[in-house]
Amino acid sequence: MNRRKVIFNRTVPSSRSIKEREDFDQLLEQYAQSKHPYFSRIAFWGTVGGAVVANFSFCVSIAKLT
Amino acid sequence: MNRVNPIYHHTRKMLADEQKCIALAKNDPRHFAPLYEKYHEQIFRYINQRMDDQDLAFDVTSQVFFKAIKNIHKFEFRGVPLGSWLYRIAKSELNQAFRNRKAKRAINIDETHVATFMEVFQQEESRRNRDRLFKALAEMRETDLQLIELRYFEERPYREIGEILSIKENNAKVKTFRALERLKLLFYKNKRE
Repeated sequence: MNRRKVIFNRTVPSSRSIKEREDFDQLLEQYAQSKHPYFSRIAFWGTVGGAVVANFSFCVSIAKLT
Repeated sequence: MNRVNPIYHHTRKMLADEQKCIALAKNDPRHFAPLYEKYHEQIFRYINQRMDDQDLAFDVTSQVFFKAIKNIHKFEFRGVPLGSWLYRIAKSELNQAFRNRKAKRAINIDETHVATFMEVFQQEESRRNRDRLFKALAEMRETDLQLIELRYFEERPYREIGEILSIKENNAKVKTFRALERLKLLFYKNKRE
């Protein structure tokens, strides 16, 4: 099935009209939103989880000794 | 209208300046602004040339720059302008847009392009021949069509075509010549039908 459309003599947008659509602030905002806060990253929960497990094991081993 | 990209032909100094900008942008995305201003128009024109919906073309352009700013830390300088990396992102975003949003792949052609092809094919400029050319373009393989668009519609030098498609300049030349031959064959096939 041919899904291509041939457009003949379409008006080319001017540089000015393209410039008007430039929005770097919006791009920065989009970029900032895409950055996950540290507490929502796997690395954070991995570290926290590991510390909790290590702490629990330490406490259990101390309890066994005493 | 001269369609050759005027900002593409980078001198060593221009490339070095661009590298400085990229290095700054890797540390702070706000420094990406001069690169955005420099390439926004040409990336938009590249996308718009291949789409039938201008608003959608602006959306895809935004997506290209979002991907670029997000992944600028991965960019490695290989002696070519940042533009060639942006074109590769644009190509992949375009394909994604065709798959996801069911946007139609468009071929934008004007009278001067038609005249060029008729001269190459040694045919008169008639409505019938024009329709045959349109049919041939619509039937081409995507890889061949890309080469025809880059060389004949956008009038880019082979070096730039090579950088956009990640092939050598000579290879771009040979492949474009073969693509034109195949277009010619399709055109004559349509003429016989």
